[in-house]
Amino acid sequence: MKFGILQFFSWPERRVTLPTVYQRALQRIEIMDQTGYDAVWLTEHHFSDYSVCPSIPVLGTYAAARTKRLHIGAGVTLAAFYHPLRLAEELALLDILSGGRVKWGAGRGFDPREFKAFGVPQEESYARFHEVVDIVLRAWTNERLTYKGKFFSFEDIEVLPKPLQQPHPPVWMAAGSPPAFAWAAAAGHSILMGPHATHSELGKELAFYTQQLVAHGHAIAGARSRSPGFSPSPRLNPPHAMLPGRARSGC
Amino acid sequence: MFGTDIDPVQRYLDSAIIHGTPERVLDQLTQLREEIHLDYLIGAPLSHETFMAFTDKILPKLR
Repeated sequence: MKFGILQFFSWPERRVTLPTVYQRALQRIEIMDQTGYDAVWLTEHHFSDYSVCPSIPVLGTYAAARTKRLHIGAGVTLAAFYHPLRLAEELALLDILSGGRVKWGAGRGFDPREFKAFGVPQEESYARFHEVVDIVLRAWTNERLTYKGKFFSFEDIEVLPKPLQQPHPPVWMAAGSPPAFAWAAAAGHSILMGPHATHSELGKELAFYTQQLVAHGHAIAGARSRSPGFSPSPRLNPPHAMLPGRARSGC
Repeated sequence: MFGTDIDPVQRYLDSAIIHGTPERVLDQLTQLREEIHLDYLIGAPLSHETFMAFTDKILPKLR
């Protein structure tokens, strides 16, 4: 069984300085590297103290420089807010600088404040998320990119650098509904599931996702993931403390 | 999302969150691994204390 940690950058009541928040997180990441965790999964959020990490590539590069073997997971990049070519560039650069340790998780976002501030209509989030993911993967796997989409179009662009991992880093998609599971499975992506599933629901969702993977001809090896909060004492975990998911073979 | 007659906090404690003593957490994870073939887990610890407890007392027994 592999383990990762979802690393938030919460700033509760702003009791300490933000540099202290980052310093403590980096100390924890160094412990992960030395104790056998598979990955740190860095969260991205904007415009609140819920978690103050607006850039996974920036923080991930620093984390990679202070670790040797730990994978650097994006948990998740809020794809609907990005220009896909810049996202492809920055993640590929992180993959190179980390020695091929990136796991790319992507989601469409949920916080209305973020959509409003970035000027992205929330009703477009699903379509933008899908298009950005499609473009990032094409930018990584094609020497030159020509693309005509609903939101972005490009003509004969060379996107550099390419990721160190070929054909690209493992891809994990945030998914919380049967259509999302089916979409991720059809593309052969791993999934990060919503935080509210019971163990029983999780089993059913994983079975459905597995069925969809097989139906689309993708290899599986029984790899599954889940992100419960854990506590050695019977205390209540906050809602953000769970993020179930599942990894495809090799991810 | 939740039934109107179900306390969401209790629902989390009973059915969604893995919590308790290291032995209890170990049992729950072992059960999930066997029942739904869980073999990758991403945790979000409540504190540095809980992170270190998981790292020292549970992680070595499940890897």
